[in-house]
Amino acid sequence: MMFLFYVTVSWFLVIFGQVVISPRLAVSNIYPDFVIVVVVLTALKKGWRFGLWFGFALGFGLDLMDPQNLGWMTLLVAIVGYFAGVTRGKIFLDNIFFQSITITAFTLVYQILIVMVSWPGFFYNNLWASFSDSVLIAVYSGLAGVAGLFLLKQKFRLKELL
Amino acid sequence: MRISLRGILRSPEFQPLAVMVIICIILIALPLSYKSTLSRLGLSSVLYPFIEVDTFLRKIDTTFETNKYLNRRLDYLSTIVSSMIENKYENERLRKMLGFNVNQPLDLIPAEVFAVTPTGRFNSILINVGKSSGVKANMPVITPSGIVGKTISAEENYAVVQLLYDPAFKVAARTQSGRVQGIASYAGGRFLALTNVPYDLEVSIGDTVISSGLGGIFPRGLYIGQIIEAQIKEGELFKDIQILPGANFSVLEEVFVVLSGEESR
Repeated sequence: MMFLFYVTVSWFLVIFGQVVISPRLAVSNIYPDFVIVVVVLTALKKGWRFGLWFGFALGFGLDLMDPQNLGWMTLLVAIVGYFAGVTRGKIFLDNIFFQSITITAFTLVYQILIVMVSWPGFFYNNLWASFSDSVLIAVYSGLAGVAGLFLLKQKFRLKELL
Repeated sequence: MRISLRGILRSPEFQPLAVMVIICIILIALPLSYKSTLSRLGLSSVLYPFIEVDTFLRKIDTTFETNKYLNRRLDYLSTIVSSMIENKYENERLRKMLGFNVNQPLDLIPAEVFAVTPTGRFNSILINVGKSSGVKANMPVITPSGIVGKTISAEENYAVVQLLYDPAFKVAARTQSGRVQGIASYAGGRFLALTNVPYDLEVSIGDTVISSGLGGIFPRGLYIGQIIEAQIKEGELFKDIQILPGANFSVLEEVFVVLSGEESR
């Protein structure tokens, strides 16, 4: 019961972060994707099953704000959570650098896929722009995610966080 | 090691993934009306607190800066308004003499932005006016800084606005001084591209780009942005032109929906 409570609170916090805080950190039309950061980090900690369903719930929450593409974010965030969970134990995560690289890699794949499925015409006609935007979002997310994690660890002494 | 299809299908890792994928495919395949209903339910229930907080912060974010800016603009504009009024009357008089139609002012509805779709890019926003205020799909959305986008769907009390930065967005445009026509669309990063401009037409950097009114959605003369780069690529028939849009999408708070489009112009 407590587990469900924590998951629900986390869901609200992450959606709050992505909807309210993230766009305020925009640099040149690009802002970090906190949802992928959290899904990847929690999946690496809790495993593929948690990553899959937590990703599904978060993706669905975000999808509700975009009825045109409803379903795509749910699918892709859940798949990211699943694959991040599958790699659990196979990636060395004690080092903050590796954490950042892992988040960046998953965000990059997610961003490229979301552009590819949501705007296929733009993606194929503007491969370079699609790719460069995705790289910037991924790098920004990787840096912001690890910085956030580091601050949480320092501030609240949450040693259990990865 | 032999991997059989039956083994994969029965594996504990595959079954939840398959269930999730099936649910998502059903969601993707739903008709737009069902998706809109789901979205409306979500926005009026679980997502409502976030939207309220976001709207509140958006107001605080911009109030101070906007106030300072508006005071400066007010001083500046009041000095030129009087001469503009004179020009307007002269323009109307001359248009009548030449037998041209007199331009009607735009019919605008103010709207507040209450959410940005959270994709990592500024693709679309939600505004707090909908069908009940006369808003329909394909209506221009502007700010004093220029075109923001167009409505793509409208519900009873809110509408979804596709922004200039959405890759699927396109607007028929022309340069203000050169009168060169093209199509403005997203080009990655913060920029738009003015496409379909033949290589032999003169386009100068710094020239203003406005809507041409040829697309049928946007009335002519709405500010889009400024040309910051114009190149001719070897062997290409069209120029490579980049535009910096006038509207700042990271601080959008209030916008105007243009109720009457080209037909009233």
